[in-house]
Amino acid sequence: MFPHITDADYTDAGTALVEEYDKFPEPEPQVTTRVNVLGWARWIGRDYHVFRAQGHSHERAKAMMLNGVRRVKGLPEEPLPPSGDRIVGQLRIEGGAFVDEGEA
Amino acid sequence: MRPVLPILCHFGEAFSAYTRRPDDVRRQLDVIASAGFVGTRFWDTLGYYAGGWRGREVSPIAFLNDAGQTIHATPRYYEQLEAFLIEHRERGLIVHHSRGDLNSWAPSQILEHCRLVGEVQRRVGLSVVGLNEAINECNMNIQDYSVNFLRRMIAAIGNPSTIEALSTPPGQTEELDALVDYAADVWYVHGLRSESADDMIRHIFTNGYEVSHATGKLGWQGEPTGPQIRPGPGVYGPPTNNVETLTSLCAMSLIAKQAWVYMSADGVFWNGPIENQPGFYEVAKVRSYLPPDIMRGRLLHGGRPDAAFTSPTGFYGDPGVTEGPARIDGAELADGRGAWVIYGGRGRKRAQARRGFEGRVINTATGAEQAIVLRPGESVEMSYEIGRLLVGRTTQ
Repeated sequence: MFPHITDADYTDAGTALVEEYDKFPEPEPQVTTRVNVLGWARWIGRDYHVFRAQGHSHERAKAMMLNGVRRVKGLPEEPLPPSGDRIVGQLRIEGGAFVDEGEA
Repeated sequence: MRPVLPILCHFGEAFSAYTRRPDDVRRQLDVIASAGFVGTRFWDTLGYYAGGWRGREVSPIAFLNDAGQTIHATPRYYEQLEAFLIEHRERGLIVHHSRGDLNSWAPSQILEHCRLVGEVQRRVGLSVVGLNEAINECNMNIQDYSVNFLRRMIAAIGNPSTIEALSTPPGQTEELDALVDYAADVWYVHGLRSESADDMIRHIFTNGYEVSHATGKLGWQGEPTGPQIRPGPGVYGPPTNNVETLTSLCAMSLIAKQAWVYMSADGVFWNGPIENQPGFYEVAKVRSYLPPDIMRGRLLHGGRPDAAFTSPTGFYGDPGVTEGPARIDGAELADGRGAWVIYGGRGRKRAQARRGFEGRVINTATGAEQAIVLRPGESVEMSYEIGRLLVGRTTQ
């Protein structure tokens, strides 16, 4: 089952990727950028659509993809948006419930 | 910290399969994540029982199986285990990390394996570990299944900040004393497997009611009943293919303070896509119907005078009662929010509000919802095969 991704989602993710990529100082790093019919929403194995297929939201998948660019640049990664249903920190037990320590 | 309701997918053979066909496992993990499960349960060692696991063994050391055959060590075992955990981390999935088939291992080999597993977990990051279980069904899979030795295994893993479990008690009994003895951070069960949905739902509620009260701890349903749609090895005991049953069991488990693992025949012996098993997508959604902090609620059955709901005709099965639901079991939070499962019975099945109520009746198999508002003493009648979930807030 593949998630429903709208044209607006792809345009937004692709535009964000182009903007981030264009911030590279010259010369651009020698990395392989895969471009295909899905356009710019793909980046060296950190693909937006793969993250969506893994169940991440649009905003989170976009941020994960952009962090892939930042890693190549040697820049620190940005904090990711809340995961929604995902557990992002360590699972613990507190106050009689299972809790995700990674999110308030 | 955000309260969460863990629902994982049983994928027992996952690591074994990953060492043989990693792309297939990656695809299965993608589907599991996409469906909404928070993680998987898997065994990092397999292969003693030749009847089930011949050709699917995975082990860091050579050992003898029960047919007297020598099983060779898996090449680059710990390197592959690390990669396998990273596959989970990359997908935002956690693991219920367990192991089986250590029957012919020496105790020193077992403890050394646990120590190395702990190192792998720390390298990957402990946020990937949802539960560290010493061993699957201890009396079936290890010579020394004393509480003391299982604790030594967990201590050897050496990651006490993770949630820890020992095993199901010997014989997989769910007697209170045994569950208390074998409890660690959680008490751990593999669930009643029965032909009767009512019995299984009630049993899960009773476990939460009794064992959580006795231990002050949460529970973990690591291998409950589940579907099996073709003959062969898989779910031991009667399988459960009815989606309304599977989702009602899950809802009751989360309400009654127990994490839930979606079990299925292909989730043990991976003979086909797990998503083709009944209830795969529906069970993963159950937590979305419930208040995420429902495990902090007070467990109450409908026979109690302080419970939010009762049956105006009594509970079917009680002396002299000829119609009505069999049970209404739920949890109520201090601010009036709560969740209840009404199930079983015969004839007209009604839930009568002792206090005012605003909420929803949910068919957990289809997701269909009906909004309801009840004044004190009013009832809502339901038609169902197995049961319905009530979620909302009581008012005065």
